[in-house]
Amino acid sequence: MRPVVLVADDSAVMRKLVIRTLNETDYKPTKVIEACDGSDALNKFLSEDGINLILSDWNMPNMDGLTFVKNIRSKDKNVAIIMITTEGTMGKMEEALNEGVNDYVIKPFKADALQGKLERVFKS
Amino acid sequence: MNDQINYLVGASKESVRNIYETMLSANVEFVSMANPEEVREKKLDCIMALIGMDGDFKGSIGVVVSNSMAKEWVTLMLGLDDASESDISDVVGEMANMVAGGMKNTLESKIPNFNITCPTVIRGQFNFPKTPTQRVEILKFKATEEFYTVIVSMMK
Repeated sequence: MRPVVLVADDSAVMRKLVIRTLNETDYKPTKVIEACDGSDALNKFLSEDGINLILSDWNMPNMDGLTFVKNIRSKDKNVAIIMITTEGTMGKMEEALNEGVNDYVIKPFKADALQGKLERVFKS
Repeated sequence: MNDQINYLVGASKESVRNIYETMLSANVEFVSMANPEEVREKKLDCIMALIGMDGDFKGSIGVVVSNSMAKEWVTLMLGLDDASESDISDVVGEMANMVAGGMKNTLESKIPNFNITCPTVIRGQFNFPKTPTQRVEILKFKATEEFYTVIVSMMK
């Protein structure tokens, strides 16, 4: 599986880190699109073809990750969405899953954690 | 108040250790609690990322680091030797974000109403002003021959 990935995070370093980590998994992307907040991510999702994986932060300026996910799910039920964030409490995880996030990676994380989540998301 | 600040101090040590092991594949050692009065006397040339706390705890969590150590964080995290100023600020903000997020996750059962803000990163020479309304704890960590500090301050 070689996904086309949209990476949304307001930190350029975190975007680089997520892409670097993704390249260490079995799901090396064929194309990566970067977005600096939820609003930018939504625009890029709507204007780019073939995105089948979204890796999004939660806390971002302009539009946060959860609002971004709600907007995506109103338009696309199938794209895989994994939230990568420091917000790891049970309440926050339930909130994200209820809004249509497929799975959740808590920072800090390693490639094997992301690999496990990707396997679960793409094999389900 | 003592219990609350002790929870925060304990959670911050655990959070820093977890970040180092997971994200940087490096070791970090908690050295000591610094005396706020001694730290206030020095002007530190550094980068500081501040995260606000709200809810049951009101105050802030800060990560203070030298430019050279922040550069090393970028190298360890991304494998880049030529970190830009923007990368350096970004990585310090993200470290503070992960420290605060880890503290929040660790303390979930004890303090369910614990909210944190996005980080604000500032550079320059500062000391830590004494505020009568806040209790301040300064944790000193050592990694790769350099020191950095995590500051936890709580409204009294």
